[in-house]
Amino acid sequence: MKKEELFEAIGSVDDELLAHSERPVIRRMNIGKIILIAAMIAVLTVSAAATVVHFRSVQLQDAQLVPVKVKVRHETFEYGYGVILDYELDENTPIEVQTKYLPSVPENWKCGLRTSARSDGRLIKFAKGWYPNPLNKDEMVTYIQMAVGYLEDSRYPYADILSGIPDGVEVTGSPEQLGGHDVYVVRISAPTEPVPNSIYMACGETIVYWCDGENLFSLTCPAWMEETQIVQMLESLYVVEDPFADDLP
Amino acid sequence: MQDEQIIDLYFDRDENAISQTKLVYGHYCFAIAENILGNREDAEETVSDTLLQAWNSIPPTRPTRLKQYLGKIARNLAFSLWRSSNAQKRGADRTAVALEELGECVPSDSHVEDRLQEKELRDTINAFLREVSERESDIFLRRYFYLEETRTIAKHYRMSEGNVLQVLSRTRKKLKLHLIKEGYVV
Repeated sequence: MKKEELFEAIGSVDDELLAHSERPVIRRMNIGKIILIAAMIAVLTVSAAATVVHFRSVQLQDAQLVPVKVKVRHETFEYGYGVILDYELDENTPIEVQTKYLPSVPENWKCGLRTSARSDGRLIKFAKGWYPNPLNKDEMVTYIQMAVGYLEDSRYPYADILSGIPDGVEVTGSPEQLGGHDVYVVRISAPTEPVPNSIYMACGETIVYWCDGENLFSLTCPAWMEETQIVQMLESLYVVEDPFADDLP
Repeated sequence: MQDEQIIDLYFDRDENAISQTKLVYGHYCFAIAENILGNREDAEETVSDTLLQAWNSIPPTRPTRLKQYLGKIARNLAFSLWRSSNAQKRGADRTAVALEELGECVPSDSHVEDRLQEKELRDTINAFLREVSERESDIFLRRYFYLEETRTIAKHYRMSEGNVLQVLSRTRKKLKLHLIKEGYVV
């Protein structure tokens, strides 16, 4: 057999194998990253809310983690503990992703973190993070700015996160009203390349934050998505029959 | 337009099938062809030939996965073109490099009757790719089906390029053992 014959034979492999190789990567976070992101979110929230809690006082060991089951393509993976924050699924993949992360946080904070996706959206991430409750609009804007700063500089060590709002970030005008909720669209224009080892692949993407007057929600959208599409998607998010619908505003 | 609708256009002998196919999968086929040929003009020609071949083969064929069906046509056509145009001047282009790498799996001094039936060899490769891990299979195909650069593969999987090279080397060794086990090479 010649190498050319082998090369040609590879050209006839099963479609299924080929299709699998074309799938976007589903990124899974290990426990170290999970703890780190929990810390980061807590840091941001604490800072944004200008509470007296200093981020170094957040005791990670106090967190009570619950097992996470992730079901993708009808297969259940047991990760022990963790959160899937970031993933990509192609539009043909039946989606059922659940994550829960329940740390101990101050009583007046709501907590919980999960992701969800809809089969029409290619890459859609929905995350509900830590936030003080109640959260007013000013605090929310601060939070957004801090969060964007975090996204922009999601390299380690995370102390740098608090260094300020980076260039290239724009919080669009007055909030739009959607289903009675304020919607802020935040575009991140730089850097356009994902930061290696970053928790989010969000750089260059669009982050939408909205608040129902009490809770802060965020949705990360692909960079190619126009604002009108984002709004349409958000509208559909409100009516979609979602197993997590109870969590949606 | 969905694949099924495009395929129906072929079956209706509606020439919009070609424009729709080009619209949806033209870039995909072009990328495969360009990876092999390293030449935009030849790659464009290959895409046109791919569309023609699809027109001639559908019907009677009804591809279950149109994208991969077209990708295979494009790859085969591009490789044929590459072979004819490079017969006299094999250089260090991407395809030549990939072939050299695959050469590790099929030593030239094999004494076994090694002219295989195409289907047998295809089945063997399929079986092998199902044996190895999904990640190894995916990386192998990205390298030797799509001829992606190792650094592109590394970026996709968020691995170091060295790691990708290591995975590829390991997979090639496994493939060689698999081919030996199946009696194709010694």
